[in-house]
Amino acid sequence: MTRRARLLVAAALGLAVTLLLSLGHRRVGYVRDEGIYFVASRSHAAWAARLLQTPAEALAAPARDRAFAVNREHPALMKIAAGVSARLLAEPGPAPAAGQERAEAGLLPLMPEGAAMRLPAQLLAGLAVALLFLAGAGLAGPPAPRDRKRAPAPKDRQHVPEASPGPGQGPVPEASPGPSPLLAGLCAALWFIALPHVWFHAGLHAFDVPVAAATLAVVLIYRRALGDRRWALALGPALGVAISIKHNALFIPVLLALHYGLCLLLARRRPTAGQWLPLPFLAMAVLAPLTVVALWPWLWSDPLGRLLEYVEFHRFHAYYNTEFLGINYNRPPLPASYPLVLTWATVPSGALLLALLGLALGLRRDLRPAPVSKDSPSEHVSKDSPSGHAPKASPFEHAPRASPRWSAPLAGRDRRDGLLWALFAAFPLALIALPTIPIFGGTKHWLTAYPFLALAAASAWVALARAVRRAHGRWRHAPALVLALVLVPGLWSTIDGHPYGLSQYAPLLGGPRGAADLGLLRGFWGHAVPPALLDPTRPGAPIYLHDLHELARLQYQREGRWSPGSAPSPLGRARSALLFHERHMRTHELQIWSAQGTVAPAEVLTLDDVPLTSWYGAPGPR
Amino acid sequence: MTPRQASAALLVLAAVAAVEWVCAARAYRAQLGPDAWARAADALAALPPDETVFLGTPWLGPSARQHLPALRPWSSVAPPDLHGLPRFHVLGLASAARAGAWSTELEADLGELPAPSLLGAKDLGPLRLYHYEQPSAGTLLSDWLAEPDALRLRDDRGPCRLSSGTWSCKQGRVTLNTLEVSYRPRRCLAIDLDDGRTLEISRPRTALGTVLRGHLGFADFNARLRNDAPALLELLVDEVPVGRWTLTDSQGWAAFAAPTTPGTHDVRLRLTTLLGGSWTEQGYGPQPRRSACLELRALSEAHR
Repeated sequence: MTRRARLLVAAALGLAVTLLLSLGHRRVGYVRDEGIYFVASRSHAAWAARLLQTPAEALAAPARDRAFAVNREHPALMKIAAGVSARLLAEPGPAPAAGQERAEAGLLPLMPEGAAMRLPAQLLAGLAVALLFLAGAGLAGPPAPRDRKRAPAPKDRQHVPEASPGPGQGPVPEASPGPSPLLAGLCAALWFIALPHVWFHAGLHAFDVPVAAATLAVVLIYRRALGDRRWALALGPALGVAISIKHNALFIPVLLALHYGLCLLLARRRPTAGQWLPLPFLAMAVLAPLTVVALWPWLWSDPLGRLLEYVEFHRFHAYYNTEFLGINYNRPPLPASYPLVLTWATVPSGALLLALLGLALGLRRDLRPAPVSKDSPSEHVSKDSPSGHAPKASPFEHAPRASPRWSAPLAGRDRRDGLLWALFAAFPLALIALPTIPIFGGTKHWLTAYPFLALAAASAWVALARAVRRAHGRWRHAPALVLALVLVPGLWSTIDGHPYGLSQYAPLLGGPRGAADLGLLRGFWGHAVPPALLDPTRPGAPIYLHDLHELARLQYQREGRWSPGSAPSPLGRARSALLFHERHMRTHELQIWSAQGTVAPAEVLTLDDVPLTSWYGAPGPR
Repeated sequence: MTPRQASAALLVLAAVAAVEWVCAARAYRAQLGPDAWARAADALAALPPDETVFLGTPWLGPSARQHLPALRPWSSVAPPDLHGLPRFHVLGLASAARAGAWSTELEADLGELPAPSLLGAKDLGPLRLYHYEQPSAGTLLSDWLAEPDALRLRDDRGPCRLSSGTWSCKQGRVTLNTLEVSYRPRRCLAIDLDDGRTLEISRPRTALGTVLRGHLGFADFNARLRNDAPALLELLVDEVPVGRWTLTDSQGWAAFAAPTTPGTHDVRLRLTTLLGGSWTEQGYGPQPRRSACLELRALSEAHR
């Protein structure tokens, strides 16, 4: 597969994912948090427009602060992008009733305003899929040759990196073709995106999948940066962009430093002077903060004070309620098993096994200290290599081997990808498992681990494919078949769960019914709105919204999807009432029974029989 | 990795994935269509009207109540326990993990009663109706919630006035309501009382059997988080104390019982909830309130 072909497939996959998300998520209701993000996005984008028209006014501190004070607990980048997207692509809302807002038409009105605001996050999900495809395909063989150009022939085999056969495996006969880069790439890409919880979050105007995509991008850049000055310089701004998406990215440099330190330690030789002060880390230390400040105008006044306020908000985050194995948790600690069990419960086990195998093989290879060759002090020799001289180079290695220097601190050295992925796969889960972490609930808080589990899965698949190919001709197609077998349950789960993927669970658990039996949470964002409620021609009546956030409802209203008569109302005065089923919401259900005078909902929204939302007192179906 | 190891790993992965395909085919489809509910409704309508039907798959509650009128009465939705029910029925998913669709909720409501006998089951497609018998359940003689007019309430400062199902007292308020206790609905006297005050609930000339059984719990989950103060409960029959309990919210729907002599007696119950407010970072305050949820029944039970 040529490099161009890989790029084309990656781009096609990324675009397909973005397109499917953009169209498919119009059936996904607006989640609670999106309501305030929509408001903030409009405010930020209005400021951006003003910046173009009257820069001096827009740049004045009062105007800046007015525009960026709203929802300042998250950086502004995604919201600016969403607001700009709406100004470009939003369809106008219908003529509003008195006192109501309507969506304004964008320059090229193509989609509802909410869908337009979700688009930047969806593009980042597409980017993650494209990057995973490229990285996964890169695992399957030597670097793809540039089209019409031959790869430079090594003059001295001992000093030129070869594509490693992958973690934990031996040599491959040169004549035999390697595992399919296409399948390896698809393995990584689909492992990630074809998970119901990833798919659900990937389409929202939220930050969880965007920061996962950005983390992946930063880590891939870091890998290059260890051997290439240009990538080292790019690492700082890239990290700044990631931090400007969500605070999860603040942990990236710590993990990268840990990885880098372990690489130096396991190399078993004294680091050079340049390696003590490497350019990639200097770039992160200097350029990332500048990028963050540049992309978040709220910080332009009193940056330190506002930064501290931001950190404090997340350090002392309010506790949410979350149901886990039939128990409602609302103060720490959550059981340490919480992220592990929920990961198993929402990721199909075959895919999870493949990823764990990849992590194990990678760690087995990468945690072994490098033996020092007496003949060649600047190189280490792999024990795995039957020839005794093949260096343990990464499959991504492109540049001719060189000595480490400050601008390329691991040039010519093993970059220990298995260790890198293991760190980034394990850390988000370990963090949530800590007893002092505020209770957030839900899988979205460790989605940043999943791209690295996907890469581990792809590396395991490549290792398996290489190993069986050496032995049995009749097993030749087994890896491809097994890959399809392993990936389909996730895809199936995602399709079945849409548009309520937040409530979807893995097949071995029994899907949503099995999760309900076990007492796992069904949702927490008030988005599963009965479709009939979003029919604006339905005769409206005052309605109790329960967990449907008023700002999310306003977004429906702006787009003409909310019946004007269905005004939000306190329970005592409402003619009908919504109830989003969560364990700790039981009190609200009983209050609705009392207010509506019935325990029988008129409509129940279900996923595979499991009630997600009840609508009491609803008018009958039209 | 050797080829042999790789082949073994691929086989394991294929086996796990194959099981997942089978599980996915079972899990990722709705089982309960209108026909299934209609069939269940017909089966429940044919049951004796005085026999309670419980839902053995609690998470199906909203859909079940939507489609099945037999699952809407308070006795079905918010029962105190399984005492006084010599025969009852349980509807559950046919695929329920536990035999007889016996849920943890029913297990909790069983209390110290022996396990009921399963008389039979009726296959209703994806649902199944199980018929149970509990000879030890006893007979219900009177239920304080069923006859609120027969109750006399007073606080430390005098009698309470009943109007539209609510007793207004000088130091509190009592209503007949359904409250959440341990995340389950419970039908009870919902009692909001000033801190440190005592409420007396009397029922003169009550037909008693062999035992008075009741429950006390606290609503709701949010208030329980912020207030762990115990409540004192005293039960008197003909002005003779027959039971005294100190109960806390960590006991959930706490059961209490006192043996009685069959016949007509005056029954009085004194409840001191101590504190009804909340502790927060700002200290103790009267809001939000934690409500006590109380029920009491007289039963005639054979000695076990």
